Amino acid sequence: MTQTDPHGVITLHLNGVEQQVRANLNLAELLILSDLPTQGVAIVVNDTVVPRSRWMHAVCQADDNITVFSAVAGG
Amino acid sequence: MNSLSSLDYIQYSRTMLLGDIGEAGQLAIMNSPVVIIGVGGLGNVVAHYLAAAGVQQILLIDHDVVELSNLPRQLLFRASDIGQAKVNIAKSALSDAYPQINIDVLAQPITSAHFNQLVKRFTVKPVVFDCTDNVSARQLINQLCVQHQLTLVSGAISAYQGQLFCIDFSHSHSHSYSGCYCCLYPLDTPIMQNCTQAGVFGPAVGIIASMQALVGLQHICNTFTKYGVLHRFNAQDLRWQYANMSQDPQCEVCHQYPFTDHQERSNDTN
Repeated sequence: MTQTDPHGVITLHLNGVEQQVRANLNLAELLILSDLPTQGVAIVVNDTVVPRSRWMHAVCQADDNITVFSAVAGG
Repeated sequence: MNSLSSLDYIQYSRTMLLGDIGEAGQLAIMNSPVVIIGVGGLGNVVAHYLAAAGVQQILLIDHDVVELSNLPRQLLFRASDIGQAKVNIAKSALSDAYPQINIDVLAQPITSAHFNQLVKRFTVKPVVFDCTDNVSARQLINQLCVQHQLTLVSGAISAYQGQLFCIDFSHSHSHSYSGCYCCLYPLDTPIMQNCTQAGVFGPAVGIIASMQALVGLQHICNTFTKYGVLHRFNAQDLRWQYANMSQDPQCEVCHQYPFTDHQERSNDTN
């Protein structure tokens, strides 16, 4: 079981890779800290899309499974 | 159309053998108009499958002409068609194969004025297939589907990444949960990946397009259940991933619903 440790660090999965990040990190901050693009992408947390307007308010939780992917528009 | 002819029973027998489709499902397919916007890689396959399935009323919208680089994935076109309007060639090819269907074409970029006028021709609400190749057209199509409370079957692909979803905007309770294309990708989303820049394999386009046709037919037959689910396909490792879409409380289209000139910037359609 993964939980917040005494130092305020949580473990989550970002694009399938286990990551340790500080607790209370929101999704917008996670993108920046992980050096991921903040434009032209969508974020799925635990099988549900989080709209971009909520990224600043959605706080990462221990054991979250987070996927960041690029928008595509080709046809 | 209230009943099938004896030839229809033979032609569509394999579809009707499906227990949840049957004669009622086939009649629904034949009575449901569809609009296919973008007759490129996706639109070719979607149009072909829908016509083959028995859809009788198809509107094709695209202003492009056939180019040599289209041929590896746009299978209705031949080398001798280069330079001709895609919608006209597609109509000709499909009409030859399925002479009973009625195909209308618009060889112009989609605009809300065009769309509003065209949709009025249908006595039944059409199912809209977004097969375009640019984000501004996608935003406009989404907005029009929300406005007219239509069902949107959206497919997209670039390089090895395909995406697909279906939202029925005629059921407000449905899209109040799943939102719309603009909730997924807000109006100012820069989308750098398209087939012109990133390339694409023809069969990968066919997979997404086949899924669009399958989803659309299931919706028409009232057997579809995965509304508001974003399906993502990786054509390199052949992996599908799924996510529930969700409404953006600040969405400018399905929540607040203002229409702006910004959304009218429609250019290429496939």
